[in-house]
Amino acid sequence: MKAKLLLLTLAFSLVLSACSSVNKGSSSDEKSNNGSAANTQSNSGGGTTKPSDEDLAYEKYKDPVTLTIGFKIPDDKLADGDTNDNNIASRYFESLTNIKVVHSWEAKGDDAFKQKVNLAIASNDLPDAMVVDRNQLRKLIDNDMLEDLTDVYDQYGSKLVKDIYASTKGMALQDATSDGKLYGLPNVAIEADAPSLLWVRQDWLDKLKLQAPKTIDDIEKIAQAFVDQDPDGNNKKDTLGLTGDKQVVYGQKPNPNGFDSIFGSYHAFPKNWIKDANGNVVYGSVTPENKEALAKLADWYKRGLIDQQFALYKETQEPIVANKTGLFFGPWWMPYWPLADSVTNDTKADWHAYAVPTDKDGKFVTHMAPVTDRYIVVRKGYEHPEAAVKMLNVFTRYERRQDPNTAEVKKLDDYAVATGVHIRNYYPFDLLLDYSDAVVKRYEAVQKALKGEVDPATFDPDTKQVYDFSVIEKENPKKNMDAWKPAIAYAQGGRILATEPMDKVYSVFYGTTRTMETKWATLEKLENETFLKIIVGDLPVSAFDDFTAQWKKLGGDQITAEVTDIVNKK
Amino acid sequence: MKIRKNAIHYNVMVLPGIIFLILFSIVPMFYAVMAFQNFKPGRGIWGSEWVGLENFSYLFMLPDSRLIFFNTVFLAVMKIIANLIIPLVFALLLNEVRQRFMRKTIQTIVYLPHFLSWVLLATIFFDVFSLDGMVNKLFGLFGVDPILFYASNKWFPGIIIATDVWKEFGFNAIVYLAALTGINPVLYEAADIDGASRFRQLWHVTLPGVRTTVVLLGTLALGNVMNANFDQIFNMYNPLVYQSSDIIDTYVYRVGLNDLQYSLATAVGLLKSVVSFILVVVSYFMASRFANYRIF
Repeated sequence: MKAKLLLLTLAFSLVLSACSSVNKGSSSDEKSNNGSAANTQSNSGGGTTKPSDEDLAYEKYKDPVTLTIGFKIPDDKLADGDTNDNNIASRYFESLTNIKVVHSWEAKGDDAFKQKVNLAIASNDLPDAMVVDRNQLRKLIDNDMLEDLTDVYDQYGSKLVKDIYASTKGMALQDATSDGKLYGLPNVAIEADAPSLLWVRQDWLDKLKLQAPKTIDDIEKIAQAFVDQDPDGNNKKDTLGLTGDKQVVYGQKPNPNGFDSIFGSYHAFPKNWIKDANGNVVYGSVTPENKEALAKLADWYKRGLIDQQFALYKETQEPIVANKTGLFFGPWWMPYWPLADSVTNDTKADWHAYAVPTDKDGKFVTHMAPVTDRYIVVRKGYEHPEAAVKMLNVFTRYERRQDPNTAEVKKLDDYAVATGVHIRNYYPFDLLLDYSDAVVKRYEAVQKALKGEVDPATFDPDTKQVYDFSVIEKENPKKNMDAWKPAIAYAQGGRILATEPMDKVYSVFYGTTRTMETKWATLEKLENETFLKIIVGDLPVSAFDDFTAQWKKLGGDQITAEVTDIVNKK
Repeated sequence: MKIRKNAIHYNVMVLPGIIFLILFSIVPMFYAVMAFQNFKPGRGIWGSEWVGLENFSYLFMLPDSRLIFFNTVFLAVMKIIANLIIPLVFALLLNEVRQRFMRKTIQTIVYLPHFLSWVLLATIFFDVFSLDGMVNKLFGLFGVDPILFYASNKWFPGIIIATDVWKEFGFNAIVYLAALTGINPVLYEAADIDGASRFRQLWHVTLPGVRTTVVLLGTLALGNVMNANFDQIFNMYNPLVYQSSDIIDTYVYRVGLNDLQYSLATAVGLLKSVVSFILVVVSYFMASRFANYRIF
């Protein structure tokens, strides 16, 4: 009796599974049928030629497809009635693709976004697609939670996207590949993003009759003057010297207020894996050079040259936007944000960028950043992984000014100018693609055109736009902030990158090793807290030696050995 | 008899509570096994690799662990002491106010902060204690150099304790006020006739009257020693004062959710639960011994 029952269940389950496989087969047939039907329709004049990749890349879905994502809330103020998931940008992209983007969750600020992603990973409850960082990607691949995008990318990736990835010599895609499978679509960071420049209020410098900075000592002098001599002229001692961020250094791509360049001038490269003088792979945060940089910063903090409250700000750009400071470190694109806000609040503000401090040989030394640091990933089991690729195609084409729908694009541009809303903040994914030498090339081209050496009409759309904005800015300085942002970013940041000689130090390793998976977070925490405490004087500078010893003991030695192994195998 | 007849109703009424308890308190206990694994969410509890006590041994190697245990106990004990004494003193003082209207008004005002969230209060206190905030301005009048309260490991624990007491003392005083009204007025009359002064009355009648309440609240609070109030500290602290204010709960949150080290965080949390469990048993035993407090 029992055996019979068992047989019956078995037979039943067989039938069931057969059914489901039949279903699957027929549905995929249906899909391909649909596809060819659509193709013949679109090619009705041209007979039976196969559609090119480009058609697939931008082809609009016949039936609406839903794509759930996690979204980072920007600062912009949208028009009445518009929301983060229903605004001029989202409507436009939906009209192009027929992909309905739904926000599973939204988070404001980088920290909150990171935590939301971590929470999604921890609870195994991912949206269909989202943007993750390197550690999160590693975790997701390890946990087998991602859809393999190899074929989807091959088939649906647009020429523009593929070209940009190709400009990194395969490094970008390699970064998101594991065991030969592509698990994410990386961003492509332009090389220019890596160096951290010193941004100075030139109008304050001039007012106090100070020289442009070159060395550490110059910066010290300027900071002292900015604190003591009331550069903003309101008769109150309310200005700051150098500002900082509680992260101390960014190590890879900088943001406002990192001290990376100070460390660089002492030839210390915290958070980067480098080769020392003997050719050994070492972790940049534990080399003795760090101690000198920390000692200098601790001294500055003690003397009040560094903002006393820098570690307490929730948002690191606060003193910059409030025009309390005239001195901070940041990459070339600072004019886009936060400097535009600073100038809006005080139109006298005149920011200049410098490649300083130089080392004792007079050279500017900077670490470089990895080609990619963010990835679009797709949840394993999502029915339309190509939807994420199509979205990337569409907004990249728009971002790189190659969108052929000129009327619609003009509408978006006008809207952006009228409201001050950044369209790019409302792309479904915070992931930009650009050629890795784009900034320097564009700067040089624009300069030539401004001098009348080349005809701007020959420019690609991106460069043309920078040129146009530069002209507007030149004629009417600080009248149109949308023109000011790119014009100054290129005129200041771009100029430094194109003309100043730099010693570029590349990290030899960006990935994660086995021991890193379990111990790295702890080590990083120890490092961040030690550096911060030394600077604010909670720990003496000599505590750096204890830190290195402890770092090695808590897994650092083992990790260094693993990294050495990987680097040597390359 | 009557009660037994209606027992089914009572049981049904208890049911939602029990379901809630099982879902949110009993089931999660099972996940404590994560502490003994190298847990990977994609693989789940069953698929993750077992590592035995490795997480615990690593935990004890970390310099943080001693710090967070000390901070948790220190902050919690200081809060318990302050939250016993200050509301008691306040209740005694308020009890001496003879005007009913006055008494009610004061009571209402001081217990209002209890209803404000720490998210809100943290922002307010940040302004109050910042470099150009109220407190530093006040100190400035007396020629004191401005102090960075939020960045100082010397001052910050005091701020944590003081703000916690400020928020809760009005609310905590209610229990004492209730106990005070429970004291038989005849005792005061008798003391009065015997020629006892106001202070004598307080010493010989009032304080013995509320003694059991104080002991009871004190012993019950013992079970909470491992909870130093996540809400408050998470909203108020910053990296500069981790050293003096990082407690187990905030540490577990950061390590677990920010750094994705689920197993290590669970190990810390489990350790805390074990200690808490012991303390609850001890405090319950003491409560039944000294204050005759029993649940069963």
